Amino acid sequence: MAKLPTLTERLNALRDCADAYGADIARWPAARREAFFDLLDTDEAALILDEARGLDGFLNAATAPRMSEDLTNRIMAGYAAPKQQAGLFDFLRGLAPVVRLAPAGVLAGLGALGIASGLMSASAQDPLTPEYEALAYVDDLSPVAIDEDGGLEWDAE
Amino acid sequence: MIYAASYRMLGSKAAAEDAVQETFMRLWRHAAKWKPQGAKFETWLYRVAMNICLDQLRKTKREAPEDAAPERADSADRQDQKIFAAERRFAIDEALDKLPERQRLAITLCHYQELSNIEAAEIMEISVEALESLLARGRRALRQRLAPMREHLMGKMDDGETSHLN
Repeated sequence: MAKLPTLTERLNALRDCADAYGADIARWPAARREAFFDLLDTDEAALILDEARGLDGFLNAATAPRMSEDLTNRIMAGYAAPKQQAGLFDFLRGLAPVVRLAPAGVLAGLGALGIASGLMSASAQDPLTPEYEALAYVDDLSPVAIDEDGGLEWDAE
Repeated sequence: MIYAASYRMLGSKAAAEDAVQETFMRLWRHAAKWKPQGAKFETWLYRVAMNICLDQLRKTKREAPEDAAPERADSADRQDQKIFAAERRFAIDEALDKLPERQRLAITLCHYQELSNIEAAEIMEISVEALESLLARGRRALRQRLAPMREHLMGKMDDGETSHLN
């Protein structure tokens, strides 16, 4: 029969987890959250999590700049206007989670370069996927909306 | 998100822009051929971008973090807050800068990009256990490096964020 870990061993394991993932247990792997659930209300665990929270606070204070419009334009300029071709819709479906947090200019650029029309024609054959739907919730996505038929409408501004 | 991750790795807007532009050039070249099999698209794109960043880091020394603390112009509260925020940002940028590349990459992917441990491990092409080890070593090193800043920052902080940074 396997020997059960002592409280000290479990607290050490909790510390390792907090050292790796920080104080926000929502960001821990689910199995770890469950494994330490009964420890989280203890004073020892509170101390460990407070230490991790201190570093989290520092890390969160170091904000990154946003991508410039100029860079967006340069990236889009590198895209040779795509023709309707096999695999493009799959590619764009994969792209959706990535562009979700991108500046609206990226999506406006996609539309300007004809990718939107590829998306819309593909949508006539494919069901509306969560990834596709997510395109409508991009930050500051004023130029794009889903129309009644599930296609993307692009506002040329 | 690719830009932010590149900036975290390279510490310079110009270098991050170059890395992102190169990433997307590769992306456009492969767009038509890409199929949703094997690695997730997001994982693939991150892997490309982070490898470009690591290549850049090997070629050139990482530049000093930008947005250094502005010079003190007057004693107004607002100006003090700005200076304090910039000092804190500079301190963490500098501490991140001194981490080994792979520890910095692990922290960038998991903490800043909020990717799961499995996704980050896939991007770095290592096991989850190895990723956790990099994360833990990186965060411990950061805590140690930032400890001398503690008293300085504590004197200015209102919210007590660093009270346990030791």
